[in-house]
Amino acid sequence: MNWKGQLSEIEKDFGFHKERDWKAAIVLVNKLLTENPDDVELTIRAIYLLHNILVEEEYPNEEQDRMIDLLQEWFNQSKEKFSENAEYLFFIGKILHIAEWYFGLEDTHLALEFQKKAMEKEPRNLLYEWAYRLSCQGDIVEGYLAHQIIEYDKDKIGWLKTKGFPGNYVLEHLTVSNEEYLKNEN
Amino acid sequence: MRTFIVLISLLFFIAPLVSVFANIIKCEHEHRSYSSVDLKIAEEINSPTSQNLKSPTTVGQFLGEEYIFCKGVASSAAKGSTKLITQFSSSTIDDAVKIVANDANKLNHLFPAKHNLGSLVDKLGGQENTVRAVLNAANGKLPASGLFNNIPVNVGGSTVFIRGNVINGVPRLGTMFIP
Repeated sequence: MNWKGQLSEIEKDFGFHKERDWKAAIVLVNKLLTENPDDVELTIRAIYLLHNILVEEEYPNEEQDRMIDLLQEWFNQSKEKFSENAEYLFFIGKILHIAEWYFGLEDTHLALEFQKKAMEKEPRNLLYEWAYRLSCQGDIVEGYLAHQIIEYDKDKIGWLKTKGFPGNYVLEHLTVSNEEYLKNEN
Repeated sequence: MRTFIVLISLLFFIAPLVSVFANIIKCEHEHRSYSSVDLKIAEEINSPTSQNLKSPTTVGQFLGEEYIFCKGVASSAAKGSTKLITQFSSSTIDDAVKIVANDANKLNHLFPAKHNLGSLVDKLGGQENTVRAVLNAANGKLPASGLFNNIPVNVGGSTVFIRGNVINGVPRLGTMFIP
């Protein structure tokens, strides 16, 4: 099984506040990162995975500090390496908004900075623009963009679906934006 | 005579020591009671003096009740009262609500279908109201600083579990859900 299959196996247990042995999963992901240090997609999925375990899943309290340290280690290393990669900036910019303290951040300024940079790097990418606009309070275009992407940009939806848990996470939020847009239109 | 002197000495020196020691034990016991007990949820206290739980005197003043203070912590609940000892002022709760409400990413994260909060949101009139109600219900149950995990709070007849962090005196929500 390749790393995508291995990560999918772990990710399928997400969302149920399930008590399972996350330590073994984290050790495996850490090993995968060591073996594939330049794989941006793996890095994004690893960060989403550990963040999700910390925020949403059940684990023994004594494991928390170690997990936080590891998440910050992965984040700090990846930030140096992939700071010019639009895909990295897009996905990580989004997740930095949620529980910024686990990344060693006091606020969400860096999150917004990442999202803005992703959009500037690929100005024609509506998905990146939507993500940035969603983070700008009071923006009136984000809902329209979400609707455009869901209705007409099937490639982007397909692309998100290949990205495992991070892709599905973004897709869920895109769908919420679209639903809000349609509700306001009617 | 010598025995008499020894007995008198014991009375004067040891008895006060025993009394002091007993008081220390009592204080420690009350301190533990305060920090570990689930304080009863009651109405939000909007008194302008309901500041963060920094000074026990302030706590005593704003509830207008008699307290025994020990080691800087309000060590006893108000006599016959069911009022919650709040730790965050209403303006701090406002700040905490704003942090969530001003960021659609946070709102979307807190309210996916799998968190089972839909009927509560309908009942309370929106996501922002729900966040406020949850934080008000959590007031007094969170640490003064740092991470909190799976704190149960009663909101609108439902038990909501919350996780997050208190940073610079302001509670931040990482997740909340009804199992």
